[in-house]
Amino acid sequence: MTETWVITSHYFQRMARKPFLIVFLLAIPFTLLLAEFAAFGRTEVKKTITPQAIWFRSDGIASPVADRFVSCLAGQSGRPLQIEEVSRDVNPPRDVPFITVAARSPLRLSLQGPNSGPAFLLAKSVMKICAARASQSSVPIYAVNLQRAAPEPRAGALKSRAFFARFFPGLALFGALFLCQSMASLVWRDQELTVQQRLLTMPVRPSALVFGPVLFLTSGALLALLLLLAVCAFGTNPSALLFPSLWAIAIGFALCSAGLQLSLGFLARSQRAAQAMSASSNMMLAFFGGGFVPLSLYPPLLRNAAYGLPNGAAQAGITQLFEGEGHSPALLWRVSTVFLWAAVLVCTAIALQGRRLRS
Amino acid sequence: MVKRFGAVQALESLSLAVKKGEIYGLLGPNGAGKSTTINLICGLLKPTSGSITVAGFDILKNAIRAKGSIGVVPQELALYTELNSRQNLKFFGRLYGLGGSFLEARINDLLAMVHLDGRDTAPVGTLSGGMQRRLNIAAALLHRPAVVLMDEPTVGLDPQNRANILDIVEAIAADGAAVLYSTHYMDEVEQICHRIGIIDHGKLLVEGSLDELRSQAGGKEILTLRGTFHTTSAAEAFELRQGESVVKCSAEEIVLNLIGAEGRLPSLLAAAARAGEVREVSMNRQTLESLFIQLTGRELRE
Repeated sequence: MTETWVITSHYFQRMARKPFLIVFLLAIPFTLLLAEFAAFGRTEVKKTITPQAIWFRSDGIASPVADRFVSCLAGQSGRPLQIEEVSRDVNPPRDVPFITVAARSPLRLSLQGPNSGPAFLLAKSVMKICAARASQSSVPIYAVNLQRAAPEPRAGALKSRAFFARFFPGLALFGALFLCQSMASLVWRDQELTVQQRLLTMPVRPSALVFGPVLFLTSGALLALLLLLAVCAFGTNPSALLFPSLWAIAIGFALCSAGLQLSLGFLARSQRAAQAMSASSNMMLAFFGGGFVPLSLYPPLLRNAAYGLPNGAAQAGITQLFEGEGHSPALLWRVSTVFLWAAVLVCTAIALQGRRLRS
Repeated sequence: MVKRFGAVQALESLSLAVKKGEIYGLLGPNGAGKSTTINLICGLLKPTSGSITVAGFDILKNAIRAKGSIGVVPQELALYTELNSRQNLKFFGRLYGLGGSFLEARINDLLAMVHLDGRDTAPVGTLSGGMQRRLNIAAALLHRPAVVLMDEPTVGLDPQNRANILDIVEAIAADGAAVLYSTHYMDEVEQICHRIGIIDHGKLLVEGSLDELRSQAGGKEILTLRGTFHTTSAAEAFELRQGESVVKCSAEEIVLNLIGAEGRLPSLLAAAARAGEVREVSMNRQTLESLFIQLTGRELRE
């Protein structure tokens, strides 16, 4: 294990001497992050709602409504809400009760007048709208219903969520593959150097020479992927980062990337050939696995085929997580597909490197 | 050791032993089997048959322990050119299981030994060819190996750098290591090797100290004639005496192993003229080179 780690850390040390590559690779996620903020602004999915003011007309009928409203809040909130009745003769000029509600999530409020159907008002500003409606209406409100509601998304947030949940995972996976290819060029170059022969004459276990590059590429691809997914999650569903499924997909796909790049490198006769093979396979994967276009836009046949590819399965899984379907049974299938590919590709790389070392 | 690559016999029953503190020169032309011998000893190749023991450990049965006793200096530069000398040595040292202050001290000692202590922060790619070769040697000595295998470490270097490296090789042997030094430079083995083995076509033709090999040459001289000859009549034209022989006889070159050739050079040249047209004549006294030519029928540079 020590030898493996020495070899892995040595690769990182050598990579650290390529500042242009590092800046270039870091520029990708941070440019996307800036683009996200510029296009969609800050996402407010987890924002705590500040207390809202609700006004009711004080015309003799509204008071019981206010009482009913308070009891309704207490009954449907699921936990105690701080509801405070303030003096009736505070601003505005009409004699109305003043109620503040502290809620951690938006509430849906429906008001009903005597001759009209329920009026559903949504979201954070609902209380103020409700109050305005109540204060301007000549019809007294006699029925109030309150329930938890989905947050009212801003126009930008809707676009942001759709974009980052469906487009971004494919791009992030392609980015990780691309990074892995850049890192693998170090390993491929070593195959052509005499230094590889020196390593073989040293008291180093062959397993270290096999697993050192695997660990180097896997950890590099994993770091890149997590960084990209974290950027993506801020635009969609930050809590998805806490799901073990997301980590499993990231680890599985990082192993896939490492296994693929190493297998190609050990198959190729030269570094140039390895680069050509890797670039071709990455582009093919990106095209057929939804790297540039969301899988949801693919025709059914291609989409189903893409689910069988490592990046297609990973993309579908990540999209599900970002869209809040963290407990979907299909997610387990996606994770399994990614890990199956990881096992096949890493085992192939190990077998090819073993054969190469023996020869 | 016997080594075959398919139908090609690379090594044919080669046996040799190198003692502690000894520099054994493996001398032979390109393609003679020197690198194959070194690659077999260090475990890069597996012998078709035979056995190899390094510092008491069988390289096939106990590879890790045996390799831990070997330091290999490959013919080509085996270093990371983007890293500096110290980083290279640190990496190889860690793989040899060294670390901490011991490794730092060892790196400092080795950098001083190969005269690179002032250039340890420059990337290896920016060092001169001689410096790179010296660092290549230092990387093989980090773990104080009992056996050092050097595969033509001075190829392509200028005389000053070659002299530097030869001094380092002598210092390694003086430190107690057994050194197997492969080269095709005759003067190098004459200068530093305690024992010499001449190898060609995968066979160890002869071995011994320089004096022993010189005496095997038997005071003979090698006469080389180049030109255009009638190969069928050339051998008879020279009227060779007892103990003399034709080493090589081709349409372009005749090589004779003669006794007292100096005194009868005119008659030999006249005989050569009868055998064809002579354009170049050279005569070598009893040197290692003449022995090599006598044994192999060709000059070392071939």
